[in-house]
Amino acid sequence: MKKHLPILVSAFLAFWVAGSWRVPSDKTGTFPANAFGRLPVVSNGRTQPLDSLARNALLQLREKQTANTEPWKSFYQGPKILSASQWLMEMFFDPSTADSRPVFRIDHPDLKGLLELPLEADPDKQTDGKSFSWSQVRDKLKELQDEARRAQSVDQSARTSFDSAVLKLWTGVGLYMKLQNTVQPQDAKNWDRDLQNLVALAPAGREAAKAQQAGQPFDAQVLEQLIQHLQRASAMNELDTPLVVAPLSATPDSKDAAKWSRTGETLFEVARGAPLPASLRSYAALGAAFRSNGTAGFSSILTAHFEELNSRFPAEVKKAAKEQKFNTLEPFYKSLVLYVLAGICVLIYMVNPDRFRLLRDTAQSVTLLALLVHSAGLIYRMTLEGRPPVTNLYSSAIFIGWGACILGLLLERIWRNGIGLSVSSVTGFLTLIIAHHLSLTGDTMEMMRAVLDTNFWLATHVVVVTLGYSSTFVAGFLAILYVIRGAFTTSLTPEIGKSLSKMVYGIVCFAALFSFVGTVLGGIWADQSWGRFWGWDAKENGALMIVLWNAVFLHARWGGLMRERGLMAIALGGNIVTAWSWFGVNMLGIGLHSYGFMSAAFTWLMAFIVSQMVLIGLALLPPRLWRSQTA
Amino acid sequence: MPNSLWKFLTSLKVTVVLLILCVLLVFLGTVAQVHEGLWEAQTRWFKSFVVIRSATDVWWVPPIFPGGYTLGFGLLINLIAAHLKRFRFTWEKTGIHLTHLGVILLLAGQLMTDLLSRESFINFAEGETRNYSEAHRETELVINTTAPEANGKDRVISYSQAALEKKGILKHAEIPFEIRILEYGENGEVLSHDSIREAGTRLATALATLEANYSTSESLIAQAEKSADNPGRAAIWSDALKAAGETGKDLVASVKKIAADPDRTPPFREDLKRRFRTQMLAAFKRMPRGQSGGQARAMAYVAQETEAGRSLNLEQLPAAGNQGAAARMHLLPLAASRGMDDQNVPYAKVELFSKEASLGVWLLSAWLNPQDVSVEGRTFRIAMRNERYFQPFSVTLLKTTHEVYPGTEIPKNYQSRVRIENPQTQERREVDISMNNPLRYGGLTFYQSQMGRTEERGEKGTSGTSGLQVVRNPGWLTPYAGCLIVALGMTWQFLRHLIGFLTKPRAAKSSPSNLSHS
Repeated sequence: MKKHLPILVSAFLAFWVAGSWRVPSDKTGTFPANAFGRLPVVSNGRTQPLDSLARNALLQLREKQTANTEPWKSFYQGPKILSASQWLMEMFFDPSTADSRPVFRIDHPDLKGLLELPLEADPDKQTDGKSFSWSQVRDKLKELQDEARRAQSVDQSARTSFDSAVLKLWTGVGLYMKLQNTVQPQDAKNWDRDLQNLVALAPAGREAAKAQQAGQPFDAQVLEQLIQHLQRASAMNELDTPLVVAPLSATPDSKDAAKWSRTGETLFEVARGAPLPASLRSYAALGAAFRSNGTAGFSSILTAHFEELNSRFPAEVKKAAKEQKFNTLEPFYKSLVLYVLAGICVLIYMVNPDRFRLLRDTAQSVTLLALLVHSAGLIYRMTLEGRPPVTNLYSSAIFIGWGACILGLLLERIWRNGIGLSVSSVTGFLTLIIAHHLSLTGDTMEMMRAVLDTNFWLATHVVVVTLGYSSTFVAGFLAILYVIRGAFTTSLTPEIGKSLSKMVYGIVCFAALFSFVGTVLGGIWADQSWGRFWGWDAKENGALMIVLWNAVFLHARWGGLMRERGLMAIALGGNIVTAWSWFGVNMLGIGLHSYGFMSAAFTWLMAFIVSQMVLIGLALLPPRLWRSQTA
Repeated sequence: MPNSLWKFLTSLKVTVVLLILCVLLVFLGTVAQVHEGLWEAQTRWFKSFVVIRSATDVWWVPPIFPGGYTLGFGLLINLIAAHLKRFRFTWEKTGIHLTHLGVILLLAGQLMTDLLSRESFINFAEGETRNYSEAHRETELVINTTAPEANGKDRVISYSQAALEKKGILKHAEIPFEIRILEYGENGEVLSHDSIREAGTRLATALATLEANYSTSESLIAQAEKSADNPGRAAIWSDALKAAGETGKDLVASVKKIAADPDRTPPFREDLKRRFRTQMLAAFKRMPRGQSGGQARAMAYVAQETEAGRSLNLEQLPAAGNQGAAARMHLLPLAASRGMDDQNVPYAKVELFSKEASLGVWLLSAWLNPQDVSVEGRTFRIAMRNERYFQPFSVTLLKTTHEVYPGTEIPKNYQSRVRIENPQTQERREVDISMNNPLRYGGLTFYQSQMGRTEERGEKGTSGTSGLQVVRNPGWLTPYAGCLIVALGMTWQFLRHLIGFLTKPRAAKSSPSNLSHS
């Protein structure tokens, strides 16, 4: 029994992962949120399911993929939690209910002060002190707008935490308005009727407008009504809402998503005499059924709408369903949990390797499972996007973790002493956490700008250079292990020290190769698209620094200029250089790879750099101050 | 060569120190771009031998630092010397040698690019043809010796920027006059007297209206009522009210309160006037500058002068010279900017002499249209413009494609369809240039950079314009070769280790010792 523990544990965990393979079907008697979430929409330049739209919106608003309607209740009191799609249904069809849902997360005390919101959690007053509803926020909209205007004019790097909080909330408010105006005007009480009214009114209204232009007598009342409709529509258009209206007729090229349009735009077309698109009618009917609590009616309208869409846009419907499945699967969240479990096992094993032999094997099989899920997620994402694995900062974090995990498992295969597993589990965990935080800014599958729109270079330069980051971090992580074990414990025997230093050397060879080839490939890409191989762009320079730093390590070792601990210090420096190149240069706000200043990330980057400096200091202490006796 | 120097040159320690200095230099040069801009930082840190701390640098910049050329040459010498000393052919070391050979090639290639490459651009609208590209920065002085009415090709004599900077006398056998350069500046604005007069009058009128609007307490209330619905104006009012100690919500009510108090009204009015005046001057300075931005620039100029407390005599504006456009123009010398995207517009004041007789002082600048000079019954056109590099072939822009992703402004595709015509080779063919798909032709490479639309409307509305970056770089292949060689070398070395390691007997694996460099 005991020796089967690793297999049993990983089988159990594999079961847990496989559990979310299918999107759960909707219960009868409720609104079919999952089916609703599968509806395709064009947002951010790409076709996606409403489910993604909803999840990304909630991530931006409250850093979670669900909407907790009673956040003041603790977990065991069972607060009512809406899934992203359920929340979006309310946003679309019943805005006034949605307005009472506390989905705006506000942490900054000054911002809460500005909006006169409760500062502290107070279950009696139904607040957790950080989640607020639109009806709470909108009272002070004017003040918020003033502050947002001011903060916008402040230079990015000079913004205070208050400014950033204001701007974040302001963006959230814009997003909220956008969603509430996607399928109907937010103030519409009975949109179904309003829409019929517009269709009925349009011909007479056009006649009236023509007559007025021609200076002939006209029906002022009809014209006035038409103008009111159009004013509403143009207010919707100004918000750049997602494109929910499928084209009227099937286009021969169904990939041409450009034909999808906004509700507001379509209303103008209808007023001009175009027939009412099916999507518009279906959404209006869905809204009416939702408000009258007719779940059966809602379901049948939705089914009919799906059938209609599927007959004309099978590709879009399929893509949306596929992405919803990916959202439900949450492969990166699952592998994160697995990495944590594996990490705990390795840690216990390292305390007493002889006694907990079995835990190393358990950790190994769990890490393998985690890598499997991680890889599956990576591949799924690639097929969804039709792109190589790394397209933005978010996916680079995921890919760095993946590469590090593989390197760790390779090391473990050779040395079998738990060190490789600790590399895999800890870097896997950390990079996925970083990825999660990067995903909070919105859609992580955004489209690539023209100059980046080349799968060949994304697949070569970007992938190789990211592997370079990955392996430099692995070398740095091994050095961290070395220094911590050596300085604070007696567990760093000369033997382990030697094996660690060999691992670092091997990995740095890898890193030097990947970062060099990756950097030069980047230069060749630049030569292909801008006509210069090297332009001293900030990100190029960052990559060059990694190459040079790895060269420093190799030459210092070959020349015998440094002993084991000195080399470890250099490897730790590699962490700083890589972190700088991965994140730091993006924060300067210059160059072609600039993503703007990220103040929260900046704090973390600084903390990381300081921690590495401290470790370098430890590595350079005289050997007698170390607890372990090393070479 | 003394032995100790040889030892120093070939030392690995020197290599490591140089590499570390390189990392630091790259870091400093990257951070410097934030304040200096890419162009300036690149010249100062990477394309130099020594970097000396300047007053504008951040505190942690070292007082003196080796520049990119010093470190690059240092590494090159160190590398070559070390190879001369240690080179011995063995299969064991082939990988390392290949890697270093590749690095030498890369360094040499970069130096070659620095010295030999030339970047220029073509910016044209659909239907237009160019047989030249223009320099980004360099300017030239050109004299067209053909009368405008003459048919056939023009005969143009040009002087490069370097010739102008020397401030000497320019002569040419085909021109019956000589050009004495009196003054030359790297950057200057040229404003017509008419535009300054118009801008000055507009500003004066606006300031007078402002004065009148807030002269009495009654007008104050009327103005407040008018401004209440205008967010921009209301913001200025509420700021002024705050300064006067009124924090009430209702703007008009607060103003009425102050207007009722004779002691508080005058200082409040003055404060308010001052605020509106500041805002007005700022608005004048911010006028959008389009293609024909002469008026906007003049407005910015008068606002700036007024702000500085200098009054302009609109009747007698100083002229930049006495001939041609100069008589109607005001020259405003500016500091040369070093930013990547800022364009400097050089100017020159010249005096023309025909047989020792002065033809007057002329102003030359790219802001001005070509000017006619008549000497001995012939007409010459004289102008300053971006230096042009002519090619033996021409490029015609046929069609531009500018696609964005649906519902967004994210560019999806920039593409120009052009026709190349080369009389020498009888070529006449069409080709597409898009992002990541440059056209290589005649030793030049054409890259898609910008896209836009013409300002003027033609028969079919506006037409698309396309900006092409034109690069001549004879050494463009060296990085490719260098990269390939280094990658080969590294892979070789790496595989040797790996294979050696994997084929060792299993017993040795528990304490692997052969990963270390032999």
